[in-house]
Amino acid sequence: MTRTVLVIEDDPDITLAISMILRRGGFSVDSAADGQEGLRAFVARPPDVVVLDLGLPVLDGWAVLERIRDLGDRPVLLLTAHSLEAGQVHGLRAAADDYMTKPFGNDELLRRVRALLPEGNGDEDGDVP
Amino acid sequence: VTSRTGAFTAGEALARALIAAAPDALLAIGPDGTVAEFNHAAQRLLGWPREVVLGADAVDLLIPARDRAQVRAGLAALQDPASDAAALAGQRITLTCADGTEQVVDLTRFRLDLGTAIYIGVFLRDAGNGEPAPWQPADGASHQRPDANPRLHEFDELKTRFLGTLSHELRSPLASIMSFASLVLAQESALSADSAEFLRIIERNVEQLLRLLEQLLLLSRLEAGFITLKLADVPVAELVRAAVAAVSASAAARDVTLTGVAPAGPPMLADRHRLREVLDNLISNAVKFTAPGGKVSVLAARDRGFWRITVQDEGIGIPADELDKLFGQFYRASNARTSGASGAGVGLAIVKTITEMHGGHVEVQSTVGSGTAFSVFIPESS
Repeated sequence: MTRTVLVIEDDPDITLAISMILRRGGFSVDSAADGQEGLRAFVARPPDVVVLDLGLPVLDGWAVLERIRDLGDRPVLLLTAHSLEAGQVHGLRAAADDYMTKPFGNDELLRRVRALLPEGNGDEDGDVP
Repeated sequence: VTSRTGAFTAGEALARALIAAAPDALLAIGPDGTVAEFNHAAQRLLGWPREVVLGADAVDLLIPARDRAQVRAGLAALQDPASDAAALAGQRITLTCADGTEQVVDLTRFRLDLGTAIYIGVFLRDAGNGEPAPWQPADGASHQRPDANPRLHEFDELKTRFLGTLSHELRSPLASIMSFASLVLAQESALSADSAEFLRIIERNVEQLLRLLEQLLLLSRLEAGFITLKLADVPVAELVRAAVAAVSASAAARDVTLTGVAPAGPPMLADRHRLREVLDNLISNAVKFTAPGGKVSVLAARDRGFWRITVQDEGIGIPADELDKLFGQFYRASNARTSGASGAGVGLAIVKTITEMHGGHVEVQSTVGSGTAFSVFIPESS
């Protein structure tokens, strides 16, 4: 079965890049451009993994993360635009399942998303073609 | 206070959003002394996840053991309905972070009388390094530490915030460039040899831009006093080995022999992560300015209560009359500018600032045409 990733990111170029990377990796991708829209999409079609940007308009990534946590236990990969100090990284690790700092390597992103899948599979489509 | 069921009134929703989104760290302490609210900014400041903090005893969790009795007494006075203890603003206090380090903050606390119970509201703001860092301007002119002068401090904060925003705004487009370049490169068989090569050049240059951005941001945060060292015992041999390993690939690519030697001895008292930035800067510089076939050596030795780590290169050397200007921001030696090696003159300013924050210093010896040796001195752990 095709696994679904919900990408919540306000920069349309980054959204397109992430979607391309994940689609080539065999995922089905939904996207949302702000926190509120992201939560709506999350509820309407619960994804296998969420890729969540921290700096979102309307409802920021932290607030979205908190709501997603209230709604269930879907794995979340946080994207941050800052290189973080140790304390923040610690907080992030505790709150999200994984995080990456922009910019990210394409293969690295795919690897991390796959690692977050509940049964650790879903890579039947192999590497980025 | 979280409610997971039922509808919120508009007022509750607003209050909740206000607390969650406030850029200042905010927490509330209940009548029983446990944490009742802990917003996102507080999580970022102290590293404690909300779910760990809520319901925990505020003093036990957040206050170092030595200060607990005093803080408890202050809270009790504020919670006593009969007392007239006023709100307290601008108190400096040390808190315990999730990773066990301590964070100095400026605190404002006030009484929240809910009729049936009295809560305490607390705003926290990062006060930077509690100990004044040995901050010195690179030009040697007389100067005050930034927070000795409120307007200067404000300006520094502005500069740091500006660089933070700039870094954020530059990162997203850079992320796009990098991702799309490698998306195209992933289908290399469909590209001409020229196209693939040009895309690799784009990737390489984006990476260089990013490194520069990181260093600029770090320098500005260091100068503004926003970076606190997390000191611990650091084994010197291990540090030298890791620093050499990190640069060994680029040294090999330039056909430069890179070696590291450290004798046994006591650890140094240092922030390992920050000190790695110092050594990475010095070693990459040494490799960059050493011609192919040359050698770079990293040598640690004990020296009167300090560890001295020397990075010796066989590079172009630095003219004697420029040695004292070398550690200033954006300064590049005249022969470095004409050597064709790239650089923005940021690395050595970072090296000097971080080393001096450790209570150490940097020395440089150089002979034009035969090489340069930078030595950083870091206190031994007692």
